[in-house]
Order: sequence, then structure tokens, then C-alpha cells
Amino acid sequence: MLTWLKIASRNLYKNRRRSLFTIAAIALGYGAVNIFGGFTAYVFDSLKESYIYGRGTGDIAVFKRGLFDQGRIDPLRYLLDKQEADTIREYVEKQGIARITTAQIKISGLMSDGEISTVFIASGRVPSEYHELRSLAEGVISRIDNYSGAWLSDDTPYGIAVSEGLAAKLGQGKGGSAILSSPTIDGMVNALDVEIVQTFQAGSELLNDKLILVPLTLAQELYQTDSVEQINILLRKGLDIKTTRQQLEDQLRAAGLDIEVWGWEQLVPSYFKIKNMFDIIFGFIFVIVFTIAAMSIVNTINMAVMERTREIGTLRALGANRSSIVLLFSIEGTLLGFAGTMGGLLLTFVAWAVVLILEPSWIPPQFTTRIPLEIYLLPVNLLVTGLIFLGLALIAAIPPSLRISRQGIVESLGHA
Amino acid sequence: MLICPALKTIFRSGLPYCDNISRYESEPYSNENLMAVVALKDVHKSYRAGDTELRVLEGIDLVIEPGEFVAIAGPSGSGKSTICNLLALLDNPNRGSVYFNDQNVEELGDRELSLLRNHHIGIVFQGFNLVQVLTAHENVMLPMEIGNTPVDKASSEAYRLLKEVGLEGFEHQRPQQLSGGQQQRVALARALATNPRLVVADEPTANLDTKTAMQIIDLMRNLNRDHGVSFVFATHDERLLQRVSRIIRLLDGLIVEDTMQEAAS
Repeated sequence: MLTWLKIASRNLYKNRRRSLFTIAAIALGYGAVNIFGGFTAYVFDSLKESYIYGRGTGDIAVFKRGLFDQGRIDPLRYLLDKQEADTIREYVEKQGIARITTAQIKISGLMSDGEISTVFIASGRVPSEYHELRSLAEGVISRIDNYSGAWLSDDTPYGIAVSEGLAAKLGQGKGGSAILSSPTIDGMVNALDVEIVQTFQAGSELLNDKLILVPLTLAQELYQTDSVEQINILLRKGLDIKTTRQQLEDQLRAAGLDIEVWGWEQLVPSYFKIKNMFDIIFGFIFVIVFTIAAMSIVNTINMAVMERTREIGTLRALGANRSSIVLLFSIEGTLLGFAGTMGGLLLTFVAWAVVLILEPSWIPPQFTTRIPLEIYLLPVNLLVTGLIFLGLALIAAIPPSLRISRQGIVESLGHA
Repeated sequence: MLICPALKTIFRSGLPYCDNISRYESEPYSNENLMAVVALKDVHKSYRAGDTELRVLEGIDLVIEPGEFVAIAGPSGSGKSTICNLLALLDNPNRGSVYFNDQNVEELGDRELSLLRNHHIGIVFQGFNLVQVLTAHENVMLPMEIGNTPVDKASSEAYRLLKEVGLEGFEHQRPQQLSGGQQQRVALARALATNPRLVVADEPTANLDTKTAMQIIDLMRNLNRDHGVSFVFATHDERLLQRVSRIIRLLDGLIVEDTMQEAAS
């Protein structure tokens, strides 16, 4: 084995220019896959964080059974009344599964400054709980300040946050006032004077002229109800969302509540659409890069085999069997693969460090704010793709070496 | 000059027959209780060049005894290299059999043949065929390493052999740093590395000047004498034939002469 390693490595060094090109092709391929993989991991993680902490869905949400099916037409019929909400909160607290438990209700209506009226969509939250939930974000979301003004407060029941587009439409800003009007759950019309304490970027172009955030009590007062739409729960770290969700649903139903418990990814199905899109793009890139690297290795080994046919004949004449010849070129392929993956790893670290130092930012599709761009270093991904590239280098070396090992010794020796 | 008894029989009867080889059919070959190193029995070999079949050997019977120093002579295209390839188990005949150490090699697979070549046959090529990325010392070690000889033992044996062929001080030179004669000496040392029963050399002096060629043949003869290894080499250089104890002459794929002689010192 050491003999073959010696011959393989020295031949690679002898043809160092060719070897370097192949190593560079593998390194660039492996680096590109890692960098793009690290970027997509960052995108998925940021999306997840934006849903759980930014939108405040928490890890799981408890709501009346059917809210997101039949309830889409008439959501007010699917609210959790105060007793149900309190029961759920108490139960969750007793189980000790939550870091934060918070309720919300979604309302809609008209917002007016006396002259202009426009449609609003609002989320009614308990300001202190929602703020705490957001503050627990650890990733990119924790570093985004997409609002100006004060955070909503439990002590300012009529202070609201308005998306910048909506504020602009009304010609209002921080410190401005407006009237929110909407039908109550009984079908009457209600209106409340509110004060704009904060403006924010909605995070979505479509919602940036509609969205507002109001205290839960204000939303309930406008709708003339003490019910809530859902209870959002941020689970303790380490708890499996799927298992906990199922257990909680079973237990609450057993307690007589007609509810459903969904995980955050069920609440935002767009996550999987985005993830699938990125996975497909990643798949395409991986296949292209993989093919280029494979062709480069096959080409290098093919040329080595052609140039060294006579040497192979000599080795066979000296007593090396066919598998030894395959082993020799497999070692060459593996050495190329190893050097390439090491180079690719270096490239990945360099790219990661450059991004870390320069802190570039970007505006993702449908976003209105710049967010920091990051590349994640995921050891498992690095290892798996590294092993794939190493395996590719090994496998790519086998067909040409197998072919030459089967050639007659005399024919090989007679090769010019 | 002595004529091989087998050849005498052939010439007398006019049949492609060798007395010694015929014994393979019924019992293992033996000559005064000594097994032949290698034997070709009614060997035919042809190559295909496009639509044309080129007949190179036409019914060769040949036995190489232990310790013999044999030259295969003949003009270009007479089949010298083909016989060398068959004797070194590098090629298979189209018809007939090759016996090595009394074993029909046709029955052997790649692994067994490789082992046989590694343990029992040394090969010297016209173009030296040293592995260019290895030093002289590593080239000599190579057959032993292929045969899984421990590295320490292979290394000391390689140093000893290089000294024996007069290359002390050149051990760590790469082939391209050595002259043709020196490279062929390395090849000879490599051929002897596994202490083989047979060394086959195909035109080992063809790329060398006359003086170096004589030195190489003398070296081969000394090694033959000292190690008791059978040497078979192909040549078309008549001057070298004085140095051998047996000459086999080929013409158009047939053995036309097989003579024993007292080798000139």
C-alpha cells in the first residue's frame, strides 16, 4: 500500500500542473457547494426565525379546531373564549414546556385620519409578551431593527404600530393619531381613537401599506370580545416540536377542548415552498459542480493511464495484479480528491471569514428591509459533501484503471 | 559444440517433437530429478493486424533447465520477443501449453500468475522500463514490496543487489540521472530482487553501446553463475552469443537450431 501511495503521490507531483488544475476544479466545486449550502442554511434559518420570533407564531400554536379550514371564511366563529384560553395557558404552564406563552387575535377594518380611510390588517398582541418573544431570537432576526419609535407597551392600551406604507398613505407618522373602525363580533360597527407610537417595515411589500400591530386589549375592545384567536407557545429548548405538538393536542382534547395544535411550519406553508425552491436550485448546482469535478478527475486519470500504460505493463510484469493497478490509480484519484476538498474547505473558510468581516447586507425577495447576509458553517454538511467529493474522486478513478488493468501486459509494454 | 538431444531427435525424425516435453502428458517433467523451470509445448502464437493474421510462432517446443544461460537469436520478426513474453508468463499462446515449475499456467488466474511472476521470474526489458518516479534503490525494492517483503529486508536486499551490479553510490539517483548501462544494471538488480528461478531479458543490450553491452552480458553471466538462476535473453547481436552456454536460433517462428556450447570467458 505504501509503495502505491509513494508512486501515486510522486506521479501527481511529477504532473503537478495537471494535478493542480484538477485539485482546483474539485476545490472550487466543493467550495461553491459549501458556500451555497451555507447560504441556503442561513436563509432557511432566518426564515424560520422570522416566523417564530418575528411574526411571533412561536414553535406551536393552539387554536379552535377548523380555524384554518372552515374558519377562513368566518374566523370569528372559531375564537377561543376566555375560559378556554385560560385553561390552555394554565395547562401549558403546568406542563413546564414553554418559555413564552402569548395570545393573539387578528382583526381587520378601516383606518382613518379623518380625511383618508384605508384597509388595515392587524395583529393584536400582548406587547410585553410579544416583545419578550422577539427578544429571544438568536439569529439574524435579533439584529434587525425594522421599526422606529417606541415599542408597544401594556401601559399604553391605545398606542399602536403602523407599517410605513400605511403611515405614508395616511400622511401620518410617529405621534400621529387615527381612528380604527371595524365590525364587532356581533355585527355592530365600532371605532376607537388610537395613537401611532411606532412605524415599522412590514417585511413584505404586499403588507407594508396594510399591516398594523395593536395591543391585544385594543383589538378585543374593537371587536367587543374577550376571546383570542390563538395561543402561541415558544417551547423550551431541546423539546421536539412535532412530538410536543402532538402530545399537547391529545392532552388538551382529552381535557375537553375542541382545539388543534399546529407547528410553526404548518402555520406558514410558504416556508416549504421557499425551501423546496432553494433545494431544487441547490440540487442543480450540486449536479453541475459534481459533473464538472467528476469529468476533471476522469480526464486526469485517463491521461495518467494513457501516459503510463508502459509503466503499468512493467508493474504487471513485476507481479502486480490487476487490483493493485486499480488500487494505484484509486489512490491517485483519492489524493486528488483529498487535496481538492482541503482546498475547497479553505475556500469555504475564506468566504465565511470575508462575509463575517465585511458584514454585507441584502434585501431578500418581497422584503422591504436590508438584512445581514451570512454564510453558515455546518460541520455535518461539510463532512458529508466532503465525503461525497472524496468518494467521487475515488469512483471516477476506477473505470480507466479497471480498463487498463485488463489490457494485456504485452500490449501495455508495447505502448509508446 | 553440442547439439541438444531433443533437437537431434526433431531433426532426425522431422517431427515437431521434443522428448523431454512429451513426458508432461503422463508425468511431471524431470531431468535427473530436477524440475524444468519453464517449458513450451507445441506453442503457436499469432497476432491479428486488421484482417491479416500474422503467425509469429508455429509449434515451438522448448525446455529451460535450472541454471541455464540461454540466448535466443534470430533476425527481426523471427519470434524472439514473443518467446520471451511466453517464458516470462506475460502472454498466452493461441495453441499449445506453457509449463512453469511443472504447472500448466493456463490453469492459473490473474492473481496466481502475478504471484508466480513476482516470486519466480525476473524480467529485463530492452528499454529498461524503470519506474521514473522511483530512485534506483526503490526500483529494486519494488518487486519485493509487491510481494509483501518487509520493508527493512527489501531495503537491505536492494542495497546489496545494487552493490553487486556495481551501482554502489547511485542508490538514490532517479533513472533519468543514470546512463543507459547503469539503468540496465538497476533493471538486472530489480530482476534478481525476489531471488527468482528464471530471468528473462528481451534484447537487454539493444539500447547500449558495444562495450556496455558486453559488460551487461558478463554481469548477467556472473549473476547466473553466482545465483544459479536460469537466464534467457533474446538478441540479434552475434558477438554476444559467444558468452552463452546454449543458443536457440529462430527463423520464421520455428526453432532451427538449439545448441549447447562452452561459453567463452
